[in-house]
Amino acid sequence: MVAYLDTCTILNLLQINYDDEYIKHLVKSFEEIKLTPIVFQELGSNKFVNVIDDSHKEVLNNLIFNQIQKYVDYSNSDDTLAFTKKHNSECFKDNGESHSVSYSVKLSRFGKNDFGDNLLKTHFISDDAPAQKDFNHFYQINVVGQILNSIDLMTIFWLKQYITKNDLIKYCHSLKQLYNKDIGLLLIKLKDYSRDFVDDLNSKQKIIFTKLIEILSNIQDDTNNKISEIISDPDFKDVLKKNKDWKELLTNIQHSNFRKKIPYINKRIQDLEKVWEV
Amino acid sequence: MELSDLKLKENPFRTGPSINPKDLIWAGFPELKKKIEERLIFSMKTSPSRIVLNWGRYGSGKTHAANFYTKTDRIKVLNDEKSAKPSKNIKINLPRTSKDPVQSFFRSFLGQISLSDIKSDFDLVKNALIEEESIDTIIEVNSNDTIISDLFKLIISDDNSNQFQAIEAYLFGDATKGTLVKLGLPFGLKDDEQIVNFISTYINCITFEKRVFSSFTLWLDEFEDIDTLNKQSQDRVTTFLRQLFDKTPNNFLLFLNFTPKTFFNIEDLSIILGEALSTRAKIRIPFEAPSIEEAIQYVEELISPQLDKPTDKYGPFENEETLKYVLENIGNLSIRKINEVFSLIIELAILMEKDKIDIEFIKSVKDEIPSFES
Repeated sequence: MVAYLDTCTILNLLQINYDDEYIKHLVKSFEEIKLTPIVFQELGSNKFVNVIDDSHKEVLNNLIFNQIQKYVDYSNSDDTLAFTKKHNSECFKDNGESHSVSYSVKLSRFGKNDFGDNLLKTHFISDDAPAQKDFNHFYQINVVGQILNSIDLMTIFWLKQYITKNDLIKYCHSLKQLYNKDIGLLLIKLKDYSRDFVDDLNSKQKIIFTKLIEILSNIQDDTNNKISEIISDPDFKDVLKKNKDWKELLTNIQHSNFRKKIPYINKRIQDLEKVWEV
Repeated sequence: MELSDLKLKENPFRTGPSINPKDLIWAGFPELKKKIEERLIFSMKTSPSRIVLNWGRYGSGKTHAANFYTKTDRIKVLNDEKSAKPSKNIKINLPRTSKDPVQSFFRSFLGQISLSDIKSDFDLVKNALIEEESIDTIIEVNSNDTIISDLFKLIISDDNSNQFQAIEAYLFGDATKGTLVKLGLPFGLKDDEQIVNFISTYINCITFEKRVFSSFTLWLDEFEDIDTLNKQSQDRVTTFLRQLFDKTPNNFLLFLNFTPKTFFNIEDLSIILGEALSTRAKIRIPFEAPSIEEAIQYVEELISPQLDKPTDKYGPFENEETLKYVLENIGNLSIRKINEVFSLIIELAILMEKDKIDIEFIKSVKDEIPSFES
């Protein structure tokens, strides 16, 4: 089996615990693991988006250069890139997902001993759910293999007994926290500010803070509208001016698709009982 | 116009944290108070250590409860009522630093229980020794770490005044040769486990056979923020708590204050705590949203001590209906929200020179109140 890894999956695997534990399991589970050059570039530009602690930045950098870089596939795939672009034009973009799919298609046509040895054995691992949806059909009709996500990977590690079922549940849980991190951080910042600068806030602002904390603690379908309403309140704008980082977090929260991702993870945790184990 | 025109001595509704014990009062919620005090009394009168999970939404009063029971003399009243020896009570916020959460916890601990406090607590233990017992034996019985035992012997010895600073530095991680030679200790506090050993030895000794202190209560506030720590730091915090609990089997009561979030609720907490801790955290005290009736009782009890004339039951508010009107129109109720909204209403009344707050007035200012539902 061969695995092409996507940017978000690599970052998830590394950022969950800031070590190479899962990469090692991955290497053991597959004959080859690979990533396309564009995924490596994306790693470079996205690696610190979620990282707050400077010491983690260094750890992450070392992991990417020492444990990941060696798997970059520099083979020429211009032909299959052009083919995918032509026949899957509605989804094709010059990004990690499209390139990974193209490289996988090409690799599946070859093998160690004969042509087509890698058919149905070349998998693309992506935690980007929309990309998975876009490419699934194309991947399937090309009999390449499967598009998996990192929870599928963990399930493989569990069934191969590299990790326990409990570790798998913990991974799912940590993944939820990773996706939910912006909310957690903003809640802390709001709580700290309303406590530390209580004398600088007027009564109306205090109520707005409480309202925003309530909204963020109990995400609903209309949360984005409620956040927009608060952001446009002149009393809140005054505080926002002094705390520019909040604005970025609020925008991230409004644009992020964690509301879909987290229920999916919860469902996967529930569905573990349906996975047969020896 | 001033507060006195509203028949009030002070604004009864607090919108910030109160540190001054005289401002920390418990209003309303008699059932909740009873549940918490049952746990406190259990801990004073029985031996096994316990974990209690306080859970409720933001602003439901968990931090206030922690402040109330750690900063006022309420515990002393309970001690006296139950003829129990005094209790030690501290509140610590969950350390949010992902670099060294345990060290950060320890700093907060020492910030509240200083070396001189430790020394004077041990002096009390010394005074309570029975025949043929020595303080050194008590320390050795209650500690399984020889370095920590030696450290406590140093802290409590009477001729250590010139070493106090060095001991403090040592506790904060100073393991330079000079400090070690001065203290006669072979090496520094090396890891989280030794911090556990230090705290557990202290608790075990001062609560030994409940001779001097009947219990030690720790309120760990904002425990929900553990989800923002990375996995290793979370593991360190939970391992630390588990070891602390294992090594302090008696007279230790740990309250974990937890605010559920959309994607981090009470079920998820058990994954983070791990089996060892979550099975011990079976006792849960819910800080539920108040009903209208409970909220009215709460508001009345807050107003009451601030009244100029006790006969004006509702102070500036015309009647119970006025309180009810506000409470019914500000969405989900929480203690924090009630305080903030009523405080603002009083400010608006002063600003608009209105000495009687009735429903009509509330209606006229409702757009000024961000929580008010249109």
